Amino acid sequence: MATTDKKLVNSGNFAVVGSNPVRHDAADKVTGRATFGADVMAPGAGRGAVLRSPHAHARIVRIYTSRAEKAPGVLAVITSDDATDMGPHVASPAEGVLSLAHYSANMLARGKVLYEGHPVAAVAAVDEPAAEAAVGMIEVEYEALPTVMTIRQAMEPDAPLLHDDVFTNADGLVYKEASNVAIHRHFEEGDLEVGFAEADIVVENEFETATVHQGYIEPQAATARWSESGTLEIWSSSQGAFGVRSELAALLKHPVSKIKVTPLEIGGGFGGKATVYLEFLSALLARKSGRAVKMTMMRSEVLRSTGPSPGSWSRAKVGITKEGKLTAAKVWAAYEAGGYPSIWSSGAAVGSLGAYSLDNLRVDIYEVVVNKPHSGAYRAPGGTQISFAVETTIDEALRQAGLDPLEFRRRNASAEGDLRVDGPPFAKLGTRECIEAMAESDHWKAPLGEPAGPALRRGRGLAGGLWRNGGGLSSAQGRLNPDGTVTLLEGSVDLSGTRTTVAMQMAETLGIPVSEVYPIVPDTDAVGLTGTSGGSRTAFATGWAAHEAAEDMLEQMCEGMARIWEVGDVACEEGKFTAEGEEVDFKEAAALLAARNILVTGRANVSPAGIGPTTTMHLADVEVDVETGKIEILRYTAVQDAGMAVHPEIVEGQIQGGTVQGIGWALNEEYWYDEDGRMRNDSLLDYRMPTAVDLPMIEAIIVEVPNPGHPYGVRGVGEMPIVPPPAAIANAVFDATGIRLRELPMSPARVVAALRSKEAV
Amino acid sequence: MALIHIPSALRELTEGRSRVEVSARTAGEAVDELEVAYPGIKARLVEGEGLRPGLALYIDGGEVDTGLRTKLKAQSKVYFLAAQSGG
Repeated sequence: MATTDKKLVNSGNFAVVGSNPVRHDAADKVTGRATFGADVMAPGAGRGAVLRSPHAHARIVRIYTSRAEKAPGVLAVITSDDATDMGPHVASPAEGVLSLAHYSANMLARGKVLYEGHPVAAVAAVDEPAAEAAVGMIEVEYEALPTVMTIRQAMEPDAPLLHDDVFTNADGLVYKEASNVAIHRHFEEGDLEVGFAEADIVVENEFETATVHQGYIEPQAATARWSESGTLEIWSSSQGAFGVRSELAALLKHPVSKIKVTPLEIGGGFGGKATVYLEFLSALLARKSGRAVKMTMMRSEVLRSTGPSPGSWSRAKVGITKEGKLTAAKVWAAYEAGGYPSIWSSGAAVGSLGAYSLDNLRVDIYEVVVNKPHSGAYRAPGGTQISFAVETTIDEALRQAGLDPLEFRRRNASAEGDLRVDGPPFAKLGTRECIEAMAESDHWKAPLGEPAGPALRRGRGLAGGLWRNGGGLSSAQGRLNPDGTVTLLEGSVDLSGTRTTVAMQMAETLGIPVSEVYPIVPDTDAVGLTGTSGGSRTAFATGWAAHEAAEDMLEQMCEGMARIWEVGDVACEEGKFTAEGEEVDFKEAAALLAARNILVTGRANVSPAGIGPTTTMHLADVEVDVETGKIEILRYTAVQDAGMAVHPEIVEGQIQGGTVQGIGWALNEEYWYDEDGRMRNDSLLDYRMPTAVDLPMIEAIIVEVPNPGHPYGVRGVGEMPIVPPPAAIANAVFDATGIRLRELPMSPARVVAALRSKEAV
Repeated sequence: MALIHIPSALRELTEGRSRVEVSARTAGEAVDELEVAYPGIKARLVEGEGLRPGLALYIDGGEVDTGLRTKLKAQSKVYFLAAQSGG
């Protein structure tokens, strides 16, 4: 019998996990060799272009395509008549999406347009100028309808309805009257009345946040080609090749086995590339034209027509005692779903109060359709908006009570056994360890310093949080090569170096250097089904799959060596195989096995249950210019529990990147719409994201409280860092100026207005 | 007996009870058993043959992807959660 001495995982004593090797994709990325969506050159491919609605809300009376169809170089013109009518069937075709019919109509409007930029028709032509010219020849007769641009408007009893087939679904109870309120979810534990009665201080506030975009640098791109036998090939810039495959199979009513998706390198996604757009249109155009069709978006199309993070309207009410016990919290948050119902925000309910041990709570979440692009995920969907409400309201209560914000969080920190907002108990958490790491940080101990001028005010703000993280299906294969290297096939699209973090977990289990493992992200025919790279799941779930595939390899290698040595048992530990006086290292074993034609291919398909939530603490120092309203971030520290940081530099990068996006959300970013619902800042010149010159170095402190549900203790890290920045900065602005900002972004105009208002008081 | 945790929004159907014991062997049977005791609850949890869209099952410490067919142990603890999206 062959045996493997399985590595004692979750021990913290690792050779590869926890180190910082050079990423496998580094050279290709920095030299420009990596292939992105727009780099794909299918032979004879036509180019596609999209006609988009100039109206935010209108009925499509008629579309005239005949001129465009006859234009020089045009290969095909499509409208929703060319897409399969999905009928009223309701399904969950994609993450965050409820209805296949709505999903299809979002990519090619059927009957109505629901936001400015909504695709109405598309053209394939021999080249881009011909396609663009033909788009200009399509005439559309619209009947304009009243627009509904805000949640407040949409929730009014007499608001114009966007859909006559959307009914409020309140935790499975579906109302009979059509409504703009698509989803209502309600979570409640304990007794709020008792909780607030116990409190010495109760604070309640109302908040609004603007629609913001993920701001990925690479616009969406897709190329489609149909073979003579009816196989559809897609090359796409997407976070999830298997999601593209399953969604296209549903939308086109085409067999999954006849769709092959090749994921390309991705120039940022952050949740915004978890659903399909151009993949569907290029597939329809390619089918109709009989040619491969390539499509890429312009920046204005990305901003106007893909899925931004929703604007929100929320209320938070908290009660605390004079001694600093959190006794009750009530949170009400409504999110813009955009033109079609979404279901993004359940995680926000769990995260909103998850960092606290709290007996009495209620959280209500609403998702409301408005005439804006269909909302998408953005790192922790819904988390930033709700955190802004909760963490600033808590700060206000603490100010009134004269309590230290870190001590308050220490006293009320959630821990193992505490119940989540949605019911189950938490396993081991790092909430307290993050608080202690912040208390020990240089930043926390450092003085704020004096402002550099008479109009400047300095302040410091703290905010924390928890994010539940995701799991789901992942697959990996490890193939042993004769020279002892290993080819790793893994199903996760690489985001921020996940090839390497997954390969590191395989290498650790095999007992070899990660440089000996060559990770490949192949097409959907070449590896098992794997969930979308998102939800902080990739290092956790696909890393687990790589670990199990490595264990399978070791088992096979031991069996093979037992046959070669003609012994009963072969042991394997730290890359060495031993039996009855025999010993070979990993490379020697690989050579011996190859010489005897013993092939080793380890496989694993996993759906791990032990998802470990991550917790965080953020500290912001700001300087506010009370004359101009400009807020400058002087210093920023983010502490986060990674469980086990597989590649600490990549974890640090995730923390820094997410934090910077949260700072942009806090200070500058917003969709500007005119009174007709047209976006007026659809370029990166006018949609202001922070750059390196706007920010100090983000100090990242990684805490490691191993997740007991993962062999290497991994917790997802990618989503959490975007959550606390607006609250931490708003709390710092109050510390600096005495004004409470309850709307995002905290733009200079808003700061000046609030300061003037304060002066008026 | 497995213990079913009733989502707070559905406790209006269970006379305020947050936990209900069932002798069911699968999650699907547990829902049927709940429906006998508390009519109307099944429609809030199940659509067709599966869980209602947007719901997830959490059993004995983790989310499971085997749906209503998931087998229950004598001491299983079952939660119906709102499925989470990620970015």
